[in-house]
Order: sequence, then structure tokens, then C-alpha cells
Amino acid sequence: MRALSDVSLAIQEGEVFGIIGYSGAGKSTLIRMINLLEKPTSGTITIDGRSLTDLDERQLREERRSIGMIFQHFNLLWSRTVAENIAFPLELTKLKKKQREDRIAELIRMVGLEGKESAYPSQLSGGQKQRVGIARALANNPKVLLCDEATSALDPKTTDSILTLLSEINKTLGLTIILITHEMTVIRKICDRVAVLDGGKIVEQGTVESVFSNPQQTITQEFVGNHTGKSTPIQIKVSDVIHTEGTVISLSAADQATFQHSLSRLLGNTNLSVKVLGLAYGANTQSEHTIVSIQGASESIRKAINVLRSEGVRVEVTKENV
Amino acid sequence: MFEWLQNVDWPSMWLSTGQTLYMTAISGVFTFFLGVALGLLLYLTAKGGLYENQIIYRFIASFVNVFRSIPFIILIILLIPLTVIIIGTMIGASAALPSIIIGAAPFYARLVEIGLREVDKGVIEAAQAMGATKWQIVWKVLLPEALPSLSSGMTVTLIALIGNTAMAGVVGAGGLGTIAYNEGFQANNNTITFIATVIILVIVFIIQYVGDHITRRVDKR
Repeated sequence: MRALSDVSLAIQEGEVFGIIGYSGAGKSTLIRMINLLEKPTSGTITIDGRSLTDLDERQLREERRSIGMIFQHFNLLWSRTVAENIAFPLELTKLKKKQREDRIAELIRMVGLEGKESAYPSQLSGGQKQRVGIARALANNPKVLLCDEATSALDPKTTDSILTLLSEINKTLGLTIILITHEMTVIRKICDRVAVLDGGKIVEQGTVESVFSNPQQTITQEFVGNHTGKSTPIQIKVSDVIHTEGTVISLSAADQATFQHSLSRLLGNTNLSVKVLGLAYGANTQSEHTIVSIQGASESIRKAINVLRSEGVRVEVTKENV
Repeated sequence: MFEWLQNVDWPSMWLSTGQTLYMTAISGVFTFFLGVALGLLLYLTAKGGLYENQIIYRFIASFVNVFRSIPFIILIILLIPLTVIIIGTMIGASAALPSIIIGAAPFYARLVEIGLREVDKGVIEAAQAMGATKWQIVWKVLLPEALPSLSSGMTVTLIALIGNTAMAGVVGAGGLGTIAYNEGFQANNNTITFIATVIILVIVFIIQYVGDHITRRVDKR
């Protein structure tokens, strides 16, 4: 059986690259191939100019030290404390004891686990366990961090905090992150680029905005949350809005009925030229913003915005007309 | 009230207790190391193991199965030539050691193998991903993570092993088995048999208690 075929990915240094797919799509196999836990029958894997597929066993072990990995079920040694777990990868290198201890303290600070040094994994919450996993993966200053469904066993709130931590690490250390997931929120929250994996093949890839604003494949549309095949909500980045003409406002309301009523009134305003640009999502998909551009006299625009606000619609002016 | 205890030759009772403890301790140490080694070999050479090797696995597995299946009293007799070669005699506490060890180690090896199988595959994979050698995986992952199983398995094995020392006593190993059989049963002195039994029970309870305590201490799950 072929788990993957014709997979070709080029991941840029310093980016967060997401691979999304349903279970059985081959995601796990794919991420395991990057550090050769899973050996490809053909093809090459090159990291930072070194072809991993050409290395012997000893060279591969060396190279794996510069590829960090975190797991869905954390895979910590329960017989070791937090500090001892983080020490594990450092014990495999010839680091002096003093340097090792300094490094452990630094990593514990980085992932925010101060005071938990001598706790055992069984005494930690899922989020804390994953923080230990992250610290352990970063111990030897890797070039790449592989995340194998790292947030799938966590609740939404914890997922969010772990993603924030990963995002911070990506920015402060310039660490390249490759993650696999079946959750759209993960991709939306931290990824720069995304590949959609289906049946062992990459069916679509590109920047997160481009892939999800204009999904070509049915499976991609499903992930975006619309599997009727009709037009899908457009995800807009603030940077795109800058190039749009007119005043751009972002609208949202708790009550859907009043919101639709207000929106249709705005669209019917004959003094203005109003265009709906699309939808934007906040950190959680529940907060959906409708992005609208308005052209017309600035007095009329201000009036229209005041009317919307009086009707209970939250209005954020993203860009003022100049 | 305790006159009946006058019939007991206490110095020889304590000497026998010492012999039983001696046989248990020495064979326990050997059984532990031999069992861990065999159990590790079974685990590592099994299908999907780190050193998968059908031939070695089958060889060790059949060795373990054969010696685990032979009734101990027969094993002692079968091993007399080997005992004479190793120890130089077939009588006495030391002479009982080879057969006790060869009887107990395969049993413990299977318990070790089961314990190692319970180690989370994900943790082994994580160690591989970090660039650990197979040897480092054995020492830093497999054995420490399986420690509670190794400890509880050793407790069970030690208790079974005490039973074997008593059985070896009947064929001249010395210890509480010998005293219970020779001076108790054959001399029709039930008090001696009774006292020997009580001492063996006390030893078993102590081992069980200490073993459980150690198992709990090392188990951080």
C-alpha cells in the first residue's frame, strides 16, 4: 500500500508551514518522513542543503538533533521529572553538566513552566505536558520543529495558548515550524503557508489566504467550512484592505437578525457606493467580521456608521478614505 | 504455655533460615540480571523490535519456554551434571543455586519482556527523533520506563523462588526445606515443620511488602 505519492514540498526558512488533511490522508507518514522516522521508498528529503536520505545511521542521528519534534500525546518519559525530560536530548550530546543545567533553566523559562521543574508528567495538565515537549524539542537549538498533531489532544483554550507559544518561538528564534493538523483553526492562527493533503497527495498548496480565499478542491472547501460547492466566505487580511478604494469598515454583531437588517439598509443607501469585500475571522472562528468598503462623501459615510452603531452593530474602521 | 517450643533445636533452625536466605539472595541477584538480559533480548529481537532477529528470538524463546515448563523437582535432577561442573558438588546450599536460577530466570525473563512491551511506543519514537542510539534507548528509555514492571515482576519471582529453595531442600540443599522434611516430617516432629513454615511465610510477607513498596516508589505514572 502506498501512503504517499508524488509529494513535493519546499518549505522556506523561518516560516510556519501547515499540512492539513483528514485522518488517513497520510499526514503522519509525511511529517515522520521529514526526520526519516518513516523511510520513503523513493525520493529525497533535504534540510538546509543536507540530503537526509543519503546519510548513514550515525549521520542521521546527528542530523536529527537539529530537528525538533513534538507529538499529539506528548511522548514524555513519565519516569522523569520535567527538568529531567528536558535534559534527555542534552544528555545525548556532550554538553557539560553546568551548561546543561543552565540550558534547562532557560528552556523552562521560555515555555513558562517555572516552579514545575521537579514535577512528574502525571502531575501536569495536557497543556503543561506539551510545553515540556516543546522545551525538550528546542533543547538542542533545532533548525526545524515538527509538530505532529501537537494540539489535537488539547481543549480549545489550551490549544490557543500552545499555538501562541509556537508562534512566539517562530518569531523570536526564527525557527521553521512544520505542522500537521486536521483543524482549520490551527492553520488560520499560525501558518504562513498551507498544503492540503488528500489520499496521499498534495492537492493544493500556497499561502493560507490564497488557498482558503479561493479553494479549488472540494476537500479544501470542506475545511474552509462550506461543502455545498457554492462560493465560500473570503478570508481577508488587513494588508489586502489597504489597497482597496474607499473607507473600509469591519462589521460584527451578536444578533444575526439585526445585523442582516442593518447590512441590507447600508447596501441600499443611495448616497453611497457600498461593496461587501468578504469575511474575516478573529482568533476563534466564532467571531466573524463582515468587511465592507464604502465610497462617497465623508459626511454620508460618518452618518451611515453612526446609524449602524445605534442599531447595535460593532463597527471598526479599518481604513479611512483619503 | 510455650513448652512445645522446647522440642525445637533453635540453633539449627536459625542456621537453616540463614541457608534459605542465602539461597534466595544469591539466586535472586543472578535471576534478576539473567532475567533482565534475556527479557531485553526477547523484546529487542522480537518482530518490530529495535534489533529484530527471528533466529535469535526463536532460540531464546524456546530456551525460556522449555526451562519454564520443566517441573522444578525434575529440573534439579536433570541439572546435577551441570551443578557438579560449576559448584563441584551436588549437596548443599550452593549446589542448589544453578537449578534455582535456571528455573527462575526464564520465568522472570517473560515478565521482563511483558513489562518492556508496555513501554509507550511513542516515547521510543520520541527518543529516536531526538537522535538517541539504540543503546541509549535501552538504558535511558526502556529500562527506566519499565522499572515498576521489573520491580513487581521480581517480587513475584522471588516468592516463587523461595518455594523452589524449599523444594531443593528435600534433595539435600539445606535450608528450611531440609529441616522441615528431615527433622519435621521424617522424625515425626510436627512442631519443626510448623516453625519452618512460619519462618518461610514471614520471609515471603517481608519480600511482598518491600517489593510492593519499591514498586510504588518507582511508579510515577
